Amino acid sequence: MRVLTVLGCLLLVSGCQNLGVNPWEREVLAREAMIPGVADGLDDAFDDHIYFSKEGSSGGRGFGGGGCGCN
Amino acid sequence: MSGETRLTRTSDGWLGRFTAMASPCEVQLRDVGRAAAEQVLKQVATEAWRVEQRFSRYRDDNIVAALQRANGEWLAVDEEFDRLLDYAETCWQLSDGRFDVTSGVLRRAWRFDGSDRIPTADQVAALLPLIGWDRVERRPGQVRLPVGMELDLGGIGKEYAVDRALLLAREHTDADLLLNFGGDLVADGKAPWQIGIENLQQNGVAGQIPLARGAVATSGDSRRFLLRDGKRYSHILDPRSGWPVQGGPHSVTVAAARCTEAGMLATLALLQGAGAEPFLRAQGVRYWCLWE
Amino acid sequence: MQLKKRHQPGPVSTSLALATCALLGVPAMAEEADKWQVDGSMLLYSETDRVSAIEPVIKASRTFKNESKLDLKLTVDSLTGSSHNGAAVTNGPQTFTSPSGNKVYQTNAGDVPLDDSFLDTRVALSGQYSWLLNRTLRATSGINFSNEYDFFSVGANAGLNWDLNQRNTTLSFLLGLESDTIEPVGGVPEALSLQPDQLRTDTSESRTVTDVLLGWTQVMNRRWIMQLNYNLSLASGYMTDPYKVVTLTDGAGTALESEDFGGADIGVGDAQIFEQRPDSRTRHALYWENRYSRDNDDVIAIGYRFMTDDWGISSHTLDAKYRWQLDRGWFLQPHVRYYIQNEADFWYESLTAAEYTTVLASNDYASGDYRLGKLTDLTVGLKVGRELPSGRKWDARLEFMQQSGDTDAADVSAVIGQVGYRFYW
Repeated sequence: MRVLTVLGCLLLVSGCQNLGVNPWEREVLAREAMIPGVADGLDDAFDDHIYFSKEGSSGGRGFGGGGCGCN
Repeated sequence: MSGETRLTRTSDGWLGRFTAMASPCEVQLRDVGRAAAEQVLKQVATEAWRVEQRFSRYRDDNIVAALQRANGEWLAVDEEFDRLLDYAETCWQLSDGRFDVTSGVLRRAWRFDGSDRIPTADQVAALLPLIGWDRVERRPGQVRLPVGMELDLGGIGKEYAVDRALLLAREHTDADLLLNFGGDLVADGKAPWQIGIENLQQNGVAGQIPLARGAVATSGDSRRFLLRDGKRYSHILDPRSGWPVQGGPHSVTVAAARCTEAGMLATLALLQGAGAEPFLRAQGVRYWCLWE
Repeated sequence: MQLKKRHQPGPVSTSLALATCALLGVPAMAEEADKWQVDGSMLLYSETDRVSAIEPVIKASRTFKNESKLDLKLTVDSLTGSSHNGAAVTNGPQTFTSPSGNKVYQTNAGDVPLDDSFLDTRVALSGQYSWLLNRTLRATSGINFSNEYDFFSVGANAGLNWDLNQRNTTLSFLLGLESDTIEPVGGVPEALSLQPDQLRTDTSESRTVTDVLLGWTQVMNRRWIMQLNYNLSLASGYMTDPYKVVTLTDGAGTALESEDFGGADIGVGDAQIFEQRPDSRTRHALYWENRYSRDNDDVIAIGYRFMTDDWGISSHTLDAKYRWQLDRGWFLQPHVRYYIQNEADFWYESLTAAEYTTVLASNDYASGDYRLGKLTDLTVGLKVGRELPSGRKWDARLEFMQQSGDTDAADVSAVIGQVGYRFYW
């Protein structure tokens, strides 16, 4: 939780209004490779499943790889 | 603003006609009854007239005229006008200043009537201080135009009206649609329409392409030029110098997803002069250039 | 040969298309709207001497004219091979019963105890639908089922995505509920009881999992986007692994005998007790992803996750990818993943007789599962793929994973191979 608080303060200080782009400046961001959760297609789900069943952690990117009796 | 619309039957649907922005406009529809066709035609025509009324520089009762009259003061603008200015700014940036909605003042020196009346260098140079998008000031919901400068959205308006009209029509009908405002058109149907491309002319016969979804727009006019001492001066003016762009095609036709986009790509290509074709090739779009 | 992608003179069409969409007040639509996007992929996973899996997946997505979106996904997961049964590596032979309780098997001194009867096929089906409530608010909802021989899971989720600040900021909220039913082969073993006694309490157990995800996606500039997620997961019910045991040893590396504790005798070194885990788990995960596109269109993606739970596990995961954009749609993508966790409060490599007595007396928790122990994983891989002008694309990746921890049981090395293909239909 401490990490979350620190990050929150950091971003409050820097201020969100200076971030971002105009709608017509999205040609780079519109690429699939720049969209979290989309860039790597099915790889994310495969990886979440593999590591969910091999490690003591899960979740974060999405919900924790559930629906599996492997852990 | 209003006008007349006429609806006639065709072999596979309906053809509606009206006049807007000094151009003959058409609406073609398939798989729809007369009443619905009539309604769509009215909506499309009303939108075309609305856009013309709001943004034409030939009127004295709209925002463009109000901006001139503001005499260098800040003027409040609505969201639609603001978006058009955003678009104009993007095009100005993307073209390194070749496309500039403030370049209309050059008409005071250049009249492309087929004559040999070329302005003097001094006449042109005197106008340059009145040109430059970077001199237009903006803040949220407001714009300020320096005294003496003019704003002309003519390079965007017609194609914008086509796209707008399609969006409106789509709220009311699923029928196959083709909107054609004086050669700038958009198709949105299940089956293709045959689109005549003026620039595809061979031996006087216009070429055709099939188009089910997408837009085609043309920029340029081969009849507008000046001729002096055997040298042809195109009506495509570079706002940075005030002089015609040399060595380019007379007109360019581009196919793209939306009409506004197709029209702007065609305009930007013309402004590249001799570099028009390499520019178009780099865009990855279908295009047709008319050179002579 | 010029391998690196060349920059063409002034391509402005993409920017113009986006500007046009902004002008018309319509969202920038993908070219492939109104068609099904079909992604097919096949994963091959193979551990040295342990589990092998083959996992074909097919996913079909469609964006409709009103911008609603439907995703359907079918996963089949077929596993064979051996898996660590939880027992310690000892300096003498050990004897176990198979999960069904019908067979007895032995492992030699110094070997990692593996149960070789691991064989299962999982079939999972999921559907997710999202739709616009207004220009900036998108709702999403989905269901998923998963079925295997001894396990059945059904889940549902619902959430909202809210675009702010000219779509430069997106806030998401997602709530998920999952209900699992576990039917262990041979019945549910009595926790902490001696495996040779084969005490079974029931035929099935269940658990529920509630997940909350709060997400913040922020466009930083033209080339940089970041996402910060907080995921809270509350699980309650049966979380024990019914096939895992903990070895009782003399404290010097030799397995004790079941009969010394009043249990049945099935062979040498058979003092193995069924593990027991808490019946609730609260997990907090924080995930931070950054994507940065360089001038030459190469993309750097860095993901970091911190996870902590009330079982005493906390972990750090660092995931880095570099997408090297080549000519004509080709790309190469090296990948490195580093993971480190500490052990759960109730993880024991093995228990002494005294420790067992204490654990039993207080009905405490104990597990020897290496996945709950101290663990460090390193994965390196390379992906190659090509995007074709028609929107079709294919890719293939090959990765190597190495796990290591305080025991030999944690030494797992695996090869991950995957091929995928996308087309529109």
